[in-house]
Amino acid sequence: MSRLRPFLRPLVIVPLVAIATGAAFASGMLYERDVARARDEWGEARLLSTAIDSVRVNALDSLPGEELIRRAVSGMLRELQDPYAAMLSTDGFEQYRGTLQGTGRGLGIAIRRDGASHRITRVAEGSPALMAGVRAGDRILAVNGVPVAATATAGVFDTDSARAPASQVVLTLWRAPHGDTVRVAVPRTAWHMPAVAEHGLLIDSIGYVRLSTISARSADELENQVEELLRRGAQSLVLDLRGNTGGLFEEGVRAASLFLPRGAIVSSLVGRGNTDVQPYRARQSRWTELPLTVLVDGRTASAAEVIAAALQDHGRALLVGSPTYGKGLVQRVVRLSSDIAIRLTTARWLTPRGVALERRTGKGAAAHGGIEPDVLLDYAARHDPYSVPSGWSDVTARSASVAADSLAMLALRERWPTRPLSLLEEHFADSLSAMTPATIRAADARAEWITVATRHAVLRVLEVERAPEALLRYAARDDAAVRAGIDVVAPGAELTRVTPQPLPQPLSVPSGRRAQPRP
Amino acid sequence: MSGWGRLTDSRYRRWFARAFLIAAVGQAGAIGAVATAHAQSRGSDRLDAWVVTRYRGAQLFPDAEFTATSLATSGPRPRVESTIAGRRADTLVAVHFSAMWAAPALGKNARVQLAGPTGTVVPITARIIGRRAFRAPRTPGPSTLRPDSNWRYGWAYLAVIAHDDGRPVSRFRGWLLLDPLPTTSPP
Repeated sequence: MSRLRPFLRPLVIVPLVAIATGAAFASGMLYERDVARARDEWGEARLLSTAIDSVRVNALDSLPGEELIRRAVSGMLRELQDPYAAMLSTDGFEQYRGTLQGTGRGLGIAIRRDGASHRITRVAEGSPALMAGVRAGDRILAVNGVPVAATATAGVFDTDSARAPASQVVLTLWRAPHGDTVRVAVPRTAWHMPAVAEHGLLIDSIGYVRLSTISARSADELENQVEELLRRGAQSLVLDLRGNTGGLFEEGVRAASLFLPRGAIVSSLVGRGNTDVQPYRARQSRWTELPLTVLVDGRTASAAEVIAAALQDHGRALLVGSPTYGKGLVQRVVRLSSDIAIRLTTARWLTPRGVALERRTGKGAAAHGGIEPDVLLDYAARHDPYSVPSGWSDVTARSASVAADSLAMLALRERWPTRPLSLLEEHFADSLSAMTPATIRAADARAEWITVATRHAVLRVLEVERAPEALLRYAARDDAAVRAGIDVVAPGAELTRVTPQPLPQPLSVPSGRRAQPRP
Repeated sequence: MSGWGRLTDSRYRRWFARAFLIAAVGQAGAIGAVATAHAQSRGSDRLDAWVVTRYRGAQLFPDAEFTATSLATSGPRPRVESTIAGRRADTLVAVHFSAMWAAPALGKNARVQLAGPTGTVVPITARIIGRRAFRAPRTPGPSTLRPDSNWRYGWAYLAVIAHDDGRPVSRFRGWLLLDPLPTTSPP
């Protein structure tokens, strides 16, 4: 054996040396290729840099270097033909992030301009205005001591605290129905804007939740509100996604998971090249048997479509409304520096059936894209309860609004019984039939005026009484999509009973004068 | 008497005129009946198309005659969901649902009154020219205990009103169709 050792040693060492040499050579080749690639990329980058330098130095009307770079990036994104790609400045980035996080920056009030005055129709939950004691139904007389009628609305109700002139706003309010004047100081602070904009029981057994956005914690908020409605006796649910333009994809998946069996595919993400499919499954399953209907319209998009498509594909809910927007793409924000970020489309999401949504285009029979609802409506958009018919003149609209407001205040001051609502409505319609302007002669036009004014008066009473659920029920009666949604989960149910009431004969009131309301 | 002579005879002439009149009236009636039937079937076709387009997976039922005599007097009134403007007449499509297979709310060829969404009745009448019973699917999942719970039953009505250029028919969306109110004579 010892004789063979001198021969064996070269047999072992030579291959080892050969392997080591080969490995070094191969790694050298790879390294060289990477270096060459990096050199190429750097060369391309240098080309861009040289182009910018050349423009900066030689162009007749040049721009500062930073601005040139900004415009170069902007042009690059534009050439991608990605409609959702954008360059975000610091403000834009913060605003975008705030939207996704659900951060509110305004006072948290919804205002309706009513002639010369501004009326608060809604105060958001958790908003600074609610904390300060502002109530729905208040009229804003002055802001920081300046009469509101003489002030530009946009400047007064500036929503961005960064641009606000002061850290708080002092509102002088007229409080219905007795006309007390109160002053409240509302701080301008960032607050969490709830994703669930409206919720309540439409009928004792039908819950309603309107999800206005899909921001951080939206799924938790939805879960909490549905749980509360079920605790109060709801046996079915109408989920309103109309006007919801989406938000966070993962939050949409979580929200849909609440109504799907555990493990069901909610959606899948497909990256560049359609190679890597990443399924997202339901993890937090809660109500897999709850009768459910989902309202959608042409503005339902993105993460809201994720929810609608998942519930439709799994046969969990019927979709009611009009075809959705069709945004089957996912964006990602990349921060380039402290003051520049870019938003890019990085993936496509698929429905559980593996369908990629396309943007809704075309009209009539040629229309395609988006999600087709199971129950198609002519007009599915959310109905503004304070709207007036499109053909009305300003004078007619104002006469209805003034008559309704006066009557509502009278009813509140005189403590007319407001329950049941149908009785109050009948009372209002009866009084308003005597207040119809003499210029409205046609029977259907008079009935329409009475109908609209009655609705405004009832809404005003509910607004002042701060009865959001009754307000929701009442407003929903004129909402074709909500009615159709109720028809799905509880056919034959009526939101509020309508008592047929014959139109009284027109009064012989001289032109230009109106009859006085009945005491 | 020759044939020509018979025709010129006043007695035969009278008989001939009577026979011609009867034939003309009969033909006019037949044409009218055919036209009415055609219009009704065209109305039904339009209503059927509307129902199946509006409710995906809906099933249409024949309109059984016995339902015509048992009109539903309670429950939601048919509500105008869609309107179509025409040159001479405007068309209204109204729907109502009920939990179970139920009687329709309005009769065939009935003359109905319109009421605003708050119930204010106006002296405008519409004529029902078609109605269709249907059922539309309801989710989630089939129930073996109550198969009916997977469906919701409804009635769709096609009504026409006279066209008025000064009154857009879309105004009637959301209005109710009512049976004519019983008229009471003064004491």
